[in-house]
Amino acid sequence: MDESQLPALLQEALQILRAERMDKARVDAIVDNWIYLWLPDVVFEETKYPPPHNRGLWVRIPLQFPFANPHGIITAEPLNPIDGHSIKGHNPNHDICAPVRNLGGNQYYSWTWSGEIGPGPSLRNPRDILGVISWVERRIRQA
Amino acid sequence: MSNESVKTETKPEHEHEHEIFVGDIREEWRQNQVLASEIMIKAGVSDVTSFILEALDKRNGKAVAEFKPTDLVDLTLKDRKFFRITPGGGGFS
Repeated sequence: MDESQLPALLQEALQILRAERMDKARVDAIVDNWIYLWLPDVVFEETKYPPPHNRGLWVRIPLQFPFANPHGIITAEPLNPIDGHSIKGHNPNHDICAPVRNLGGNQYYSWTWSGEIGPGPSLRNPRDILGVISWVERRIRQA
Repeated sequence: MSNESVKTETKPEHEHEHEIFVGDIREEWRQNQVLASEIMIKAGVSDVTSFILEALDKRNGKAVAEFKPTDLVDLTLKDRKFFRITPGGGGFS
């Protein structure tokens, strides 16, 4: 996907992400002011999830990043905690998945940056994309 | 998820400093137990209230323990050398 039309700060964030954390991260869709960012190597806590413990998923990042917050992740398969508990915010086959459905995206988790769990910090810097990745991993661990 | 019972060092704290890394930022602490908020502030976070400090199993490794700003971090324990600062909070829509 041509990323040259993305806002400069978002392009910078993607460069930082690829250089320092996930070199195979890619933008698979741009829809309604959101990018669907493929993260190929997200860590799943071994004590809470069965293998594989490194999985790919999409996170929705606003074009205005870092001045607006991520909202939601999309996975190919449902998150499947070992103890079998249901995960809040799970929306199977939701319309939000449509932009990446042909790539296997089927399960939408409508996770917000701030809410019932507490306020997320203000984002102001392209480097904050690295914190978004660890936030996704922690949300999965705490889900 | 932390396990604060596995001691790896027993030296009194005056005998050495603890060298830790928060991302790429190096810190030294003389005391064995430090507030997570102090570690994050030293790493450059001005408002720690909405952040979590995660201990990693190695540099850029996976998180093995997490600490709220008000938690004490025991730097004498295993896996207390490498850390990262993770946004806390969240919700559902």
